[in-house]
Amino acid sequence: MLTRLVLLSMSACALSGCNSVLTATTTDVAGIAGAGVASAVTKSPAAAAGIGLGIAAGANAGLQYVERNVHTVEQDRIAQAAGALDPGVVGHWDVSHKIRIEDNEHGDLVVTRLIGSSDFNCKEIVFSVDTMVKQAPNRAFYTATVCQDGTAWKWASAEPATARWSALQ
Amino acid sequence: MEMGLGGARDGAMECAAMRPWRLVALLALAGCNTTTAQLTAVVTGGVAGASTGSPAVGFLVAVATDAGANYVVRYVGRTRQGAEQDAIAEVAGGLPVGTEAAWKIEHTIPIGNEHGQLRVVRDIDSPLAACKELAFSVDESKTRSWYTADVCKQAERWKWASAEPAVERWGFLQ
Repeated sequence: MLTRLVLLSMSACALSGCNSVLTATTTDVAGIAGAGVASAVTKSPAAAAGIGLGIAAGANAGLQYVERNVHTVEQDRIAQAAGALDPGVVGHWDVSHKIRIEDNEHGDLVVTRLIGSSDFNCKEIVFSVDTMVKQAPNRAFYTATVCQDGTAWKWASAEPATARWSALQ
Repeated sequence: MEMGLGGARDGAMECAAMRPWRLVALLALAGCNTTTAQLTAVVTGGVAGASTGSPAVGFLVAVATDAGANYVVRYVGRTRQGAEQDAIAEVAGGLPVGTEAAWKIEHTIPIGNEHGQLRVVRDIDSPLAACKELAFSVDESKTRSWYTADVCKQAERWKWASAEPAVERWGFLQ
């Protein structure tokens, strides 16, 4: 029952890409179902509540783990495409996810600057995410930095200053 | 958010007698987003538990309310932060490299208004898009904090373009 509810909410959300709702729903359903199961086997409301909270926290951690893996794939694909490009040359990137909690996306990218020295190589990039909005093509542009880690190119943009992050967490 | 502990506490006390959704809306605007959802959940769950005589029902209502309130708080916060990014991007879009201008955001509900100076430091030249690197300040009464960001022109508007951090670097921030 619990698994079915969680999977149902995940698949419903995957179609619309509603990650925030997905997080809330998964935790919510798992917590309520967990507390429900616990209250069936224990007469202590406090014990049921404790079990429910524990399951909710576990479900949230599990979902975040999956979301991070899925999003890392997209960052890796863009970084990989950028690694092969010389500055000023427009390339293409795309990603297809095995788990559809994020949309399959694609766009163009260009290296705008080389950053580095003898012991590290980084590239500043501009990339587009091309979508269709109301049957019309829509193109959003973003900037990021990628750096070479060994043989692989990886996303390198660090997190925003915590003072600028508060509304987004 | 910059609101101190005293401000959060005062806000909560003022709102103690309000309906939960009003509490959510007001505290979200005041920037107490870490406590708002849980506070609302506890209030709602407590009412449900008392009215049904079942602590278990109270808990279930609290969990559901927490999820819903948390979503609303995040949505409101993102919308307001997005408006501030748009305000900065719009000013930056009209500035040549090396010039400076003032920026400000005035929300419909005047909580969290901010202002500062803005300087375009570089044109990011590419065949793909028109982008600019900028430095902007957020000015408080006694302090001025500087930040950097990128903006790009999308269709007709300049928009914030700094992409998300590497997954490995946002561990404790989401």
